[in-house]
Amino acid sequence: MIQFSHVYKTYTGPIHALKNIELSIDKGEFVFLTGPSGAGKTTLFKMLSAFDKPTSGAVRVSGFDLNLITAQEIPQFRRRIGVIFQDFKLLRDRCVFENVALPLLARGDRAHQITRRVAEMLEQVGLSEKARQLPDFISGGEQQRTAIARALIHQPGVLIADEPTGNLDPKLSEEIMDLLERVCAQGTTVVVATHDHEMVKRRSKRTIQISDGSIVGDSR
Amino acid sequence: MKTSPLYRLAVHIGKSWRYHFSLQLATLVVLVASFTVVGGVLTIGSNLYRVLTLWGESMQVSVYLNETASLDNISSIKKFLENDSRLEKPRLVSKEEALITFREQMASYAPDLLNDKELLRFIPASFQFSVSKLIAAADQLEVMQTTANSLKIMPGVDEVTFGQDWVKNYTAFIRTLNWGGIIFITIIITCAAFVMANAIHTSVVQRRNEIEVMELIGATPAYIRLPFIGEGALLGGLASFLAMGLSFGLFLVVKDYFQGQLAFLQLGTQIHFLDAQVAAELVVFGVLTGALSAWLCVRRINDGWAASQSSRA
Repeated sequence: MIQFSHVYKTYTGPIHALKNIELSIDKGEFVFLTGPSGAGKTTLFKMLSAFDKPTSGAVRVSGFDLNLITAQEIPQFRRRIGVIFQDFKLLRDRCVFENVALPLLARGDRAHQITRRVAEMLEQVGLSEKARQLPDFISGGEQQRTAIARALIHQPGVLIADEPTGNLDPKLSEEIMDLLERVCAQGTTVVVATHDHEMVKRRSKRTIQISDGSIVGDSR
Repeated sequence: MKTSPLYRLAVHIGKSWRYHFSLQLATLVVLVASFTVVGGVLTIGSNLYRVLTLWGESMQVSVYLNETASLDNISSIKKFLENDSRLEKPRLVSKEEALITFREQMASYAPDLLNDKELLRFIPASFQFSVSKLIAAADQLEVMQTTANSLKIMPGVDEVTFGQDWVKNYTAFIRTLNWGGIIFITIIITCAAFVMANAIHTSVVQRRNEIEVMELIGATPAYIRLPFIGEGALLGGLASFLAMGLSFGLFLVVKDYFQGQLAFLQLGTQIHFLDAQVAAELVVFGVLTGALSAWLCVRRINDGWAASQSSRA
């Protein structure tokens, strides 16, 4: 499902953000990516979501070779993945329902299909009651659940979460992780970047450690 | 859940006006002013062109025949003029007819000439013709020149005159008017396009976060750009439409002034506003200019990597 082969990423400076990354993640796996700030987690996530290209090496995600992907193919690729950020990246002037509906609107789905599917998804993440609320009027946990619902609404094969609990308290963090585990149990590959070591220990999932741009540990 | 593109465009434009009302209003005012100037220039230009064309239509070419011109020569010249579709009204003016006209014109200035029996010897017969109205005023000189050159070498022709200097000046003025108008309007439209692009650019900056999110969820570049292009098109269209209305209002005021205060010029009844078709074309042009400037502004906002560029930290 996800394959990194001898991936290097160097920014001008030069800053070696990633060095010889060799990584393989199977379909339906739940993987933690841990490491200190500046270790290269975010760079790796940008590669996974086609927001950046490697300087050398190969990246394959959901059947797409991201080295060769064209600008026209990127939207198609993004419809196969879901991405969650620490800062949620919700549109502040649209309600929960409209935020969650965005991927389906962009895909051109019909109005009644969108309405039905969003209602189902909001039910699944426990936000049915908040559907017409603006993001600024719901809690951080609810905002993150909205972001998760938006990332899952189009049923992606891969869910990428960059510090999804970074802005949440421990209780809400556990709720979000439970939700991500449920998503994984339904067959979605889930990759979560975090530096919350306690949570990683409690979950007992495959953990890949990154330090200074290199993989220094893989609990597989 | 409303999913139509028009609803999306309406929401998009509504937000632009809500968040940047002053900028949007200032942009609209500047654009209306620009298109009003364009409308004014076109109105003045078309009226001036109409008046000058009327003058041009009255320009006559005279082909003076020499004393030895035979009937065959005259017939050949007449045939030559009648076969040229660019010319109209070729008319043979006999010596006698020319003399009568000459005497009528000179009667009040030189009454003695009316009794001069020898005068007939000095006044030649001639062909008089003008250039077809279908020929543009700016091209009339060339038609006259080439025709005159052909006529000069024909047997029986003594001289060809058509007020060359005046026609040259007239043609040069028409050409200057055309090119001056084109350059002036181009400058105004270019400035208007920049103003529109600035408004769209502000709209893009305001929606940077939204654009990133749309990229993230797999929206195509066209899906992201279309509301901005629609916003530009509507801004251009609305501005040019309002400008046509304003131009027409100003035209009525000016026309009223000509009819009232400057009635002696008799221009009040001769000047007209732009044709409805030209006005409609100008509105369409405003729409296209707005859409084009918006497209130039947004064509590279989301090449698939924009979010990476702005979020790289």
